[in-house]
Amino acid sequence: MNPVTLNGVERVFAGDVPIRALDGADLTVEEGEYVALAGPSGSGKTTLLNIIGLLDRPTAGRVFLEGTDMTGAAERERSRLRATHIGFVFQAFHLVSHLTAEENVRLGMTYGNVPRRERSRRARMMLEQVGLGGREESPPGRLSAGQQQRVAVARALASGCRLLLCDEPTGNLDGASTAAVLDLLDRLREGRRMTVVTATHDPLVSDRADRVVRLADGRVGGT
Amino acid sequence: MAGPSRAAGRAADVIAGAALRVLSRPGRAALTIVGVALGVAVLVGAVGISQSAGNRIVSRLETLEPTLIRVEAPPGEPPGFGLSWGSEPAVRRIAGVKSAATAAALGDDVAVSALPSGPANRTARLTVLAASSGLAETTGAAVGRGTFFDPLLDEAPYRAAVLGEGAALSLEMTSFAPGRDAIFIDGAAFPVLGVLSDAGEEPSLSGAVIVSRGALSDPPSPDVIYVRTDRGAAGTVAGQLAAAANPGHPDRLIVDHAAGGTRLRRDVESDVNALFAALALVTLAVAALGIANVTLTSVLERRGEIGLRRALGATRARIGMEFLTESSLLGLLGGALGASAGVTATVAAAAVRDWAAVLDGWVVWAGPLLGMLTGLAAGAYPSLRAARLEPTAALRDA
Repeated sequence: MNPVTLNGVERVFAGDVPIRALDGADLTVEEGEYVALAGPSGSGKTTLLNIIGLLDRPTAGRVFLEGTDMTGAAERERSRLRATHIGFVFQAFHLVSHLTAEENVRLGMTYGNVPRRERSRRARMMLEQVGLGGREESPPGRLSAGQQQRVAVARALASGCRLLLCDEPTGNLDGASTAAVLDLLDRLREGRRMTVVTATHDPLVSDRADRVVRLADGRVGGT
Repeated sequence: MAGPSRAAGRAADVIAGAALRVLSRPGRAALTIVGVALGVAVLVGAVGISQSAGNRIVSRLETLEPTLIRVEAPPGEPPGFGLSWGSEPAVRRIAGVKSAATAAALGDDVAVSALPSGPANRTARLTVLAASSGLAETTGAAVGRGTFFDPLLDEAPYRAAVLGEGAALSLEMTSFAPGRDAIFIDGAAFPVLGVLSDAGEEPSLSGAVIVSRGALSDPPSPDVIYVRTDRGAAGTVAGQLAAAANPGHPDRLIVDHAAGGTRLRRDVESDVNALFAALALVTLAVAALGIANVTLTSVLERRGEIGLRRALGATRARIGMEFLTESSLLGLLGGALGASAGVTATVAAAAVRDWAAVLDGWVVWAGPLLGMLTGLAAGAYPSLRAARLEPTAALRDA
């Protein structure tokens, strides 16, 4: 069963001038595959990721996750799947400034019914895996950009997700940090047979993908 | 048991998250809490000070409060349904009763003479009462010359009379001398023991002739029992009189008690409470606006965090609940602080004025609850806004 299947997905943002962000996008991602979505700004990469991640609904077309049609799924079911099956890594990290690194990682398990004691254990283990052992009590403001993105990766994976969605994960990182984060993602992905879909402008990211899907004007152009 | 424990875990997460967010902005939280505290403190303090003041006013009014109660039987009650001469001892046993007296009217237009027979002069038509020996003491009547009845005359078959001041004038007995003069009713002589100089709180005694109860072999049923109470006890005693006077038919009796002090206390408390409650409500409304403003600002500032939480699996309802809990927590803390300040203000005001501090327990508990409800109401709109945020828009705009 493919983790992600999109059939003729359209997304039109209403307004004085409606914007067609996706125009009949078809995409299939196989289990354990690492797919990079490439394309210029405004080509629909982030919109596609949001629809795969159940943060947004398509105007037309169908979305299947693990073979289940999620197009018309209820809000509660979509939230449940985000909490347990899908992880997100954002360009802006989106760490909560008043929480420590460990608390930020624990936040990733808050909505997935992971017992409180287990959350703490898993958060420390994940921070160890991303190379931040000993920085559990550090707030985001005391971490470098690369370290913050590693905390975000730890948060995404702590819930035990099988589908990781990354939106320009290296967009705010320097060269060394980019390489470190990409090495980390490669290592974690292989260890977990995790499926990864990442939107990127960065050739360093797309070079590591199993497949690069190009988008232009909301259409999937080819690989 | 997974359901309840999971729900408890979620509730613990929501409360812990709200506490963390409150602590993350201590300055802003403190100002918001003080706003609520001010409103609740005014309310609790107002109730406390008005109750203490009311208590003080009542203490002073007790010296003015009537202490004479009349228990009356409506005319024409069959035997056993009204009062009896045996009711008085039971009435005297009530705590707070100082004295009691029983009286029965023998007639309003009875021919009474100062001479045995003969000329019509020195004969008058007067009200004649049979009464027990406690009548003068209980009604506050003063004997100018002579004495009132000895308690022995309540039972002993001796005739004796005491005249009201007006009755003595009617009978031209102004030069009365104890032990020398008598009056005559239906030809029977009643030695006059005394003449009242003041009818006390029962003005009708002035024009009456009062004869001793023991003088009558078959006295009629009493019309009234007078009861004199200790200061401040009239209300309590009045509540027990009917049952003591006639346990079989207490509902047939009329207890006449002027409850002026108690009513006045209630009126004073009510007026002061209303005044301060209005002030407190205005303060609370301002505090609520403060909470609403802080929570709304917090929602706008944390759009990115809201988007993140939605991405991590939070439902709309959960997001709304998290913000609502935060505003309720601010209100609860403000309410608790305000209740403490209100109690302190009450005690301090009472100490300065040398009053006894009085405050109902429920007011202290109502303070934090009121604060929490204020926070809940104030947080409703911002929480709704937070819950309605689209996660993609929230993440994009952060």
